Amino acid sequence: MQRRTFILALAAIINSLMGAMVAMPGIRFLLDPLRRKRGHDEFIRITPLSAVSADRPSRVTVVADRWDAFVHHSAAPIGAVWLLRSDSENDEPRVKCLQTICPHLGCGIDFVAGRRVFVCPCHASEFDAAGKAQYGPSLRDMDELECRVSPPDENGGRWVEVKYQEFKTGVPDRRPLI
Amino acid sequence: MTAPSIEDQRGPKSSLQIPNATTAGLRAIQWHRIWLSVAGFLFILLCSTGLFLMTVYTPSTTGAWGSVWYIQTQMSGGWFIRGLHRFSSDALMLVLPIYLLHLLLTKAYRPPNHARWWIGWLSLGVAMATALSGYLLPWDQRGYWGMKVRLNILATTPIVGDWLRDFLIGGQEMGSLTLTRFYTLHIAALPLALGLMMWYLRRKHSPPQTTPRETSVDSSIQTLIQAFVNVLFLAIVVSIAWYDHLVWRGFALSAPADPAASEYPARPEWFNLFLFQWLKYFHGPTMETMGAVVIPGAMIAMLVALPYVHKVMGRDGRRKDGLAHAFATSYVLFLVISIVWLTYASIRDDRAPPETIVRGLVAKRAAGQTLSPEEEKVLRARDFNRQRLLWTTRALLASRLAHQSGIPPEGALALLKNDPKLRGGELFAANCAACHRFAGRNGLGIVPDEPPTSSDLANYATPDWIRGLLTNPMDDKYFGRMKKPDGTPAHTRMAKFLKELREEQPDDAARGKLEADLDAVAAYLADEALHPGRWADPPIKPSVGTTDSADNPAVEKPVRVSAESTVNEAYWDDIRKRGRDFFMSICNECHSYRGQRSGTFSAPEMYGYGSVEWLELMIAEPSHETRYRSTGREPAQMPPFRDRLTADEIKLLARWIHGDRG
Repeated sequence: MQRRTFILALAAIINSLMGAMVAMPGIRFLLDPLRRKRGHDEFIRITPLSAVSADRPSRVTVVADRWDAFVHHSAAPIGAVWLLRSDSENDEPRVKCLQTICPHLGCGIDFVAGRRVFVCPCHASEFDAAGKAQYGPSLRDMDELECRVSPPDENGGRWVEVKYQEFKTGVPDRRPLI
Repeated sequence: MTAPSIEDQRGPKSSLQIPNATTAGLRAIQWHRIWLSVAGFLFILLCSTGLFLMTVYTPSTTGAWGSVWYIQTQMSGGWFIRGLHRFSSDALMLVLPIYLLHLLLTKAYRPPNHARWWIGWLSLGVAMATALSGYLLPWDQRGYWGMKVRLNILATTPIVGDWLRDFLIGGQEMGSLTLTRFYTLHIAALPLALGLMMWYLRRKHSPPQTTPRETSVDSSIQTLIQAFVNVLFLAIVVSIAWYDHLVWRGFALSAPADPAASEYPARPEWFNLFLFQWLKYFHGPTMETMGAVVIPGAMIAMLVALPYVHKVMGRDGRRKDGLAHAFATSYVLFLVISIVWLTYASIRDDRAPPETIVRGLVAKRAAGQTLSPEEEKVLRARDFNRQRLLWTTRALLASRLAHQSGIPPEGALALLKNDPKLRGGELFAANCAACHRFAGRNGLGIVPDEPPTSSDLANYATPDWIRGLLTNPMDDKYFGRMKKPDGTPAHTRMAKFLKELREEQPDDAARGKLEADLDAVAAYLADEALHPGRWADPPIKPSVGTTDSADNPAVEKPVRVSAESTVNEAYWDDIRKRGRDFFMSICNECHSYRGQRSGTFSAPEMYGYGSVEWLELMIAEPSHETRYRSTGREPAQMPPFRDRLTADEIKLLARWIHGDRG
């Protein structure tokens, strides 16, 4: 009986080793996508300044080069931002850029013109016209993105440029997702 | 070792009853169960690697190739998982026949065990169908054309053939639905059927539940040996996967499927080569159906009927029983030998013939002799291997382009379609290579059998190319192979002129100076191909010495040169200027420049000679007044391509011939 147990154990070990031999590369294969991180760390030109109104926030789609696993889009929408324009008294343009993704759980934040508030349609988080959280479950203000107005180009046009980033949702502090 | 038959196991005199003797235990090993265990192990391996692959694979005509390319070349361990998946499927195609042969040799195919004989063959068929459906999934040339041919063979089935084909591919044409249908078959329907069949066979081979205690040693040894045999097969599969990765890297995926690439040399998978070879012997619609459907159908029907052969041959007497078994065995062995031989024959027919033999045959054909059917076969094999090589390079090119720029959203085929280098070579091969050569080849790396009848355009209009022409225009590379319709040499005037020019020189010094002048002309004209008109009057903007370019904006800006090469450029500019002077005083007598010439005889315009624009007009309209003209003593032999190619294609071709210069 002992010999039988030994032989069966040996067979089980052999079988487990074979299983491991396939499972280990398999797990590496499954985890492969986690190794790939591609962010946009340069400024992306998103809209002419003239298209940004000072009266109300403008929603602008960010179009950039995008690698989606094996597919390469040379110009694809990677997200959207809210632009808030408030020029200074000497007409120097100033633009503030807010992420449209709700810091609570990531739905797209809308602007309600009548009440002049940003509202997340999913869990009713509300933010004031400058993006400050004032009602609902969001643990922080709307995420601000680094943004600038380009010097005039050869035709005198000026552009809004943004460093597009996304942040971890559901936490009180801003943690960039690379 | 002869394994016991199934009847023996169940029978009262089974060797399993001998207690506690290891040798007896070894003798009692059930080899049927071992083969089944290997098959089951391979099946589980296929399912698990398949699950991993499913997390990446994309069953769409635009995404499939890209996703498999990504698995194969980009993901860590991707080639290994895919290799295990591919080669364990191949191993299954060997193990199941071994199992079936074993059933046959141990007489275990006869009633009451005939069901496992049938299910065994059915599972082999389903395993093949699963493998074949899998070969389509990468949506590469190999899978696409292989499946297309297979489905058209299926469509020759009388009455239901066409319907069956359309049902499988989801319509009349292979496309998106074909891929999703085959995907469903491959990952769900067929493996489910295969799994159920193998489960059934395994149950049939299990020892009776009421195992006597004495046989327990035997069953554990059985388990151990099964584990060992499984390890052996895993080792084989892993070694083949490694071998494939190390030796044939990049060949595991052929070029993206192109429904328009009708010249793709399709071949079936190795386990179907025998059928492919078999069908070569059948010609004509009736015979094709015979070969593809009727005869194989009859063979399979006979296999199914084998368990009952002894009934037909007589139910009494051991002698007749033995006769029936001998018949069954020899029938199956006959099939096996035929399959092995046909497989060998198909590989043999496709082997690349030695180049010396091919050259001999080409020469024989060129001499007007007719070739024997055997010799024709050799040339066909050569053509097949050329095409295969061509498509291998395209597969590698597609993979390299995917590395460089990713897979475009419109699909991997666009990689090859939009690659100017490949398209240029293809256009050259299809349109120019009947007469011209490119470095002795047809633009796609193949040396055509027929000798060229015109110039070799590799490095066209580079200094070396032009200088070679000025040295001897009648060289084979230039005008040497061109003939007038009456068979006399064409374009002899240039040679005659140069010969006279050389003979006019009074002494060695003058001759040396002339050759130096011709060097300069070559340098100058090669510059026309890059910067048309840079050396024209009013002269002359050197590349360096930016003295007056600012106050003379009419002059084209000099090419930007790096600091290190400025000295070199200044030196060459002097030479080009000298070449321009010589051209205007000597060559311009015939060769016009911007329509002006000093003599009366008209030769091709040299403004921008060899530039993309110059070439475009040359390709579109060789008999244009500023090219080789349609009248006069030496009219153009080349046909106009204005109506054969689109303007874009002509531009692409001109760019390709022009090459990467400037």
